[in-house]
Amino acid sequence: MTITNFEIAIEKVNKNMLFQGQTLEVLQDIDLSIKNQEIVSIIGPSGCGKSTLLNIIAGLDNPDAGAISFQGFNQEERLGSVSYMQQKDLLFPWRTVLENISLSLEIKGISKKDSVEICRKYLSEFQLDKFEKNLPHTLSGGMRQRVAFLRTLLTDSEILLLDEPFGALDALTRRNLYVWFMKLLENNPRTVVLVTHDVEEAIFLSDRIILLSQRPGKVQLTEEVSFERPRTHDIIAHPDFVSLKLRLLDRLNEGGDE
Amino acid sequence: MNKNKFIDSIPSILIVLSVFVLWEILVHIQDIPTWLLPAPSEIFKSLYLDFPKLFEHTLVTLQEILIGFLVALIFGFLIASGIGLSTTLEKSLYPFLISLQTIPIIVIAPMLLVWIGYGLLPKIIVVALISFFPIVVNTADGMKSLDIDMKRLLLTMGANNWQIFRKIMIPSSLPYLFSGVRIAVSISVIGAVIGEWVGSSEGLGYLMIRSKPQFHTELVFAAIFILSAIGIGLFLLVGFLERLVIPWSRYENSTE
Repeated sequence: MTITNFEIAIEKVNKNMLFQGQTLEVLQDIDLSIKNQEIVSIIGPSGCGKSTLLNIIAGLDNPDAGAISFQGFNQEERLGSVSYMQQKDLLFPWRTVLENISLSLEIKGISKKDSVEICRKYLSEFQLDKFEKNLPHTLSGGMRQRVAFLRTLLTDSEILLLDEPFGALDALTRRNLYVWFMKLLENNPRTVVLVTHDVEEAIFLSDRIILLSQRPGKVQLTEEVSFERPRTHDIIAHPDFVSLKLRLLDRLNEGGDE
Repeated sequence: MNKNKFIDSIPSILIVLSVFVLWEILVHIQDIPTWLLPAPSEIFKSLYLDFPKLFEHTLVTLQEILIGFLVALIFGFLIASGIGLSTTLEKSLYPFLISLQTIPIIVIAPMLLVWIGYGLLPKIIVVALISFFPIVVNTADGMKSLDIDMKRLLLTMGANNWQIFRKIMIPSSLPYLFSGVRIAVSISVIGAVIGEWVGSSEGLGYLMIRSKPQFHTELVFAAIFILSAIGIGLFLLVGFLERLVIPWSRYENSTE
C-alpha cells in the first residue's frame, strides 16, 4: 500500500485526440502531483492541452496511457467526485440564477428549502442577490460568469477545477474576486487546479505554477510561489512577484516563437 | 406592447375585410344563387340565425379535437422520450412512425368506422393519428439537440441518466415540442372533420354533409367559418402558452 499526502497524482499521462482525421498528440508524459489544499495554476500557449488535462482530471475524458489517483487510490471512475467549472458558463437558459446555482445541490437530492437557504448566503456575497429570480439571458457576461463560478463552488467537492474562471470579468471585479476567493479557501480549504491565460492571476492565486509547452503539452517549468496565504493586493508590487512574472512571461514567449 | 400587437394585425384584418367585400360585391353583381355560393352577409346571417344548432355541433367537434390532440400529445411525448433516451428505440421506431404518417387518413377513417363503429372514439383516433406525427418528430429532435457540454457539466456533478433526462433533455425539447404542437393543433381540426365526414350523427362535419344536399350552402360555409375560428384560436392559445411556459426560448443563442 502506498501512503501519500498527495490529493491528486497524475502519472505519465498521454492523450491523443482525433482532429479532422488526424491524430494529434495533445498531452505527453504529464507527471503532476498536487498536495492536499494546494492551489496549482496551469498556464501555457493556447492549444497546449490545458483544458484536456482538466477534462481528464474531472473524468470526462480518459488518458490513453497513465493513471490518475486521488488520495492514493486509483480513480477509474472519477466523474462526480470533483467540481469543474468549464470555460463556457453553461448556464441553463430555463433556470433562474438561483436555480442554476442550486443545480448540484438538487442532483445530490438536498431539499429545495435547504438549498435555497444555502444559495442565498452566497448570492449576497457575489452581489447577485437582487438577480436571483433573473433568467440568464438578462445578465451581463461578467454576471453570468459569477453565477457559473458560484455554481461550481456549491458543488461541494474537495477538488476544484477551474478553467479560466475569471476570463469574462473586468479587472476590478476580478481583483475583488481573487481576494474573496482566497478568503473563502482559508475558511473552507480545497485543492484547486486553475487554468488561466493571465500570469499575474496565476501568481496571485497559486502555490505553484505549471507551465505547459506547446502541443504536445509537456510540463516545461514548475515555479513555486512563496507568498503567504491569504494574500493582499500589494504583493503585486513586490520585487519577487515582478521577477517571477517576467520569468514566466519570458518562457511563455519562448514557447510561442518555436 | 398590446397596442403594437394590434397595429401589427391591422394588415391581416384589412386583407380579410377586403376579401369579404369583394366576395359580397361579386355575388351580387353576378347574381349567384345562395345554394351555389352564399355571400358573406348570408353566411353571417346563418351564423346568427342558426347559432343554437351550430353551437351544439361545435361543442362536439371541439371535444373530439381536444381529446384527440391530448392523446397525441401524451403518446407523442412518451415516444419522443423513448427516442431521445435510446438509439435502439430511435432506429426501430422511426420507420414505423413514418409509415404511420404515409397511410392516408382518409382511408383509415372509414376502416375505423367498420372496426369501432359510430360515436366519439373513432373521431378521437383520427385526430390523434393526424396530429401525433409532428409532435413526436419535433420533440424527438429537441431531445436529440441537447447541449452536450451541459450534459458533461451534470455528469461532473454526479448526475445519473434520469436526472440528465429531466434537467436537460425535457427543457431543451420544449421549444421543439411547441412548434410541433402548433402544426398539430391546426391539422387536428381537419382530422375531426374527416372523422365526422365518413360517418357520424353530430359535429360540424356532420352538419356540413347533411346541409349540402339540402342546398343549405350558407350553413356549410358557416361551419367552415367556425372551424377556421377554432384553428386560429387554438393556434393563438398555443402561442400564448409558449410564451408563458418557455419565456427563455426566444433569447437562447443558437450560436455554439
